[in-house]
Amino acid sequence: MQKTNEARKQETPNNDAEKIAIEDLLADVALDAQKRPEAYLAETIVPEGGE
Amino acid sequence: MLSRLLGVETEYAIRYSPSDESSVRPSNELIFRAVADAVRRIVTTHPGERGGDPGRGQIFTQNGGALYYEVLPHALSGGLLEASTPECRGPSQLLLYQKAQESLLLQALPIAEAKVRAAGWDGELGLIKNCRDAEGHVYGAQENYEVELARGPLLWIYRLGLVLLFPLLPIEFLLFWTVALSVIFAVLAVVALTSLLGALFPSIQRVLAPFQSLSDDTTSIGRRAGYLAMWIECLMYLPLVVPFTALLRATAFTKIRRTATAFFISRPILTGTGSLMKDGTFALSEKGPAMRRMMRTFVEPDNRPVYDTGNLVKFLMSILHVRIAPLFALFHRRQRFQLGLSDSNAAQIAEYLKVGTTSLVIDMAEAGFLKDAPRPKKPVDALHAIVLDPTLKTAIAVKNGEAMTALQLQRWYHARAVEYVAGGAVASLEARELVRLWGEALEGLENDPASMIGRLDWVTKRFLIEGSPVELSTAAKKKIDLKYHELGSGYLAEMERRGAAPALVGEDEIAHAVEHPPQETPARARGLLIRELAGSGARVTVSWDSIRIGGRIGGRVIRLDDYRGRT
Repeated sequence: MQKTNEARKQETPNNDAEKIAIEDLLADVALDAQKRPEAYLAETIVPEGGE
Repeated sequence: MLSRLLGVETEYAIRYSPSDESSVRPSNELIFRAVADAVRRIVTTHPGERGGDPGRGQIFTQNGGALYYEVLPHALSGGLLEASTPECRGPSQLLLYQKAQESLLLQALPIAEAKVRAAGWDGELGLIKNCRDAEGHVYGAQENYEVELARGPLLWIYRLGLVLLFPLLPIEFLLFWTVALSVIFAVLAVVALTSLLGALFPSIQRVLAPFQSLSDDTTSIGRRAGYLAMWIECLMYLPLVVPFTALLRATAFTKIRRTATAFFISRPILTGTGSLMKDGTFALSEKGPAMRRMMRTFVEPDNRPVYDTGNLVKFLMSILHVRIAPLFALFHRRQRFQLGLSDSNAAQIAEYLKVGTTSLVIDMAEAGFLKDAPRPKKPVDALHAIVLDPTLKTAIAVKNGEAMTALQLQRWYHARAVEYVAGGAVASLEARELVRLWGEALEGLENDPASMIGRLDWVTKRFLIEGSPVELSTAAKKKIDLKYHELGSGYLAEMERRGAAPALVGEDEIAHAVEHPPQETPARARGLLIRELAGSGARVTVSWDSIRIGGRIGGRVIRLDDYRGRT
């Protein structure tokens, strides 16, 4: 039981760190995506497509 | 095993974000010229044979790859930057040279931006490595594999068919140039006459103005005229292209088409880059929904095939420019097999799986290892059904009466690959690693899709859109869809920097590959000559199979390694 608790304590900080990293990523992407999205889409139009 | 030549052509959408939103955008042609000039400052280059105009024509780089301004004739200002990797041996080498290409373009961007600013357009440049823009226009990647076109009696039927087409060549030549010159003359005459009348009679200038812009593709009437000219050109090709594409459908790559179609139409569950469609649904693939047929029947741009024989059609049509060598190359046994159903991957694992699993499946098909492969009943419809279902539950009908999901189809091929690799006469570490990665991806998709974030593009993109902590507008979601793919500043690139998307190739390897060609491929000789002839003062023109020193008349042609067998 003690080993399991110790193993769990070691896992938890890593999992928490990973979770925070993912949340930060999602938040940063959402923030950037909301900056002038219509303009970005217009600036990347390929008028006639390609191959 | 995994030793055939392969290469990828990628079309990049060009982003220009002006400092002043009210200013006019420079043409994509101007931006391409700036990027090409920037590339010339970073690596040694020589002009290629394609494109004519040195500014926007093809350039070959010292590692054997190429850049080109890909454009439709009726939209000269709205083209794409097309970049081709050098010929590579094996999927890991291909991935390395694809990353080298992206690295070179990223280095060129700030130099190009400064050049565009100096020309009077103050803004930011970006390159988007994807396949579908916000309005649904499709472009993007094509994969190329060195493959046996046919063998035995089928090969001889193909060659006989080619010979029987030869009498049509002079007819096509005369038809094409008669019509082309007539159209060009007619347009110039209309523009000149209306300009003269407008100058003589100013009161009717307003009525005549639209006709004066017939040759200007930035105007509505100019674009319509260009579109009409494109269709006239397509119709002129009919007498030759229709019988030739019929011959190809009957004889070319039949082993692969019979036994690997189920693999290709289910492959998007691994290799699709995801796309937010106009109706708000999420498709697995950008290109998948745009496929119209299995094999090309005509040259119309929207006639998108899974197996694209456009490269072979171009060889045939080279007669229009009095080029004979490509015609004879059509008789070779080994040809470039081109896949149109190919998304431009951002995640390195997805890109590696795309070319690696495909190389292995082609190896197995050619070895006769897939004779009992499942055969989809209506493959294009099946492809559409698969790519429009992110739950991966759609089952498609196969010819033995069963219905199989895309996962089941991929598992079938994976199981065969495990057997094939284990039974190989020569151990291939790369093949074993590839099969392991393939199995891991299928397992992840089936039982733990979150484990594929950062590894498979559609899974990652969907996660970024649906995982947003705030409610996003449709435009913001679509921006995630596109900016995911932007070189350097895009969302997948950011994930790589944060360690959330694994990289399979290192920065030092990439830096080396920017400057040096792959060994044991035609690119080696090409790259060597490009560097040796730099600064020689000679006029050098490069192509994929030769280098010419001097002009078309009196010049010296050095043939590069010809990998295609003639027997």
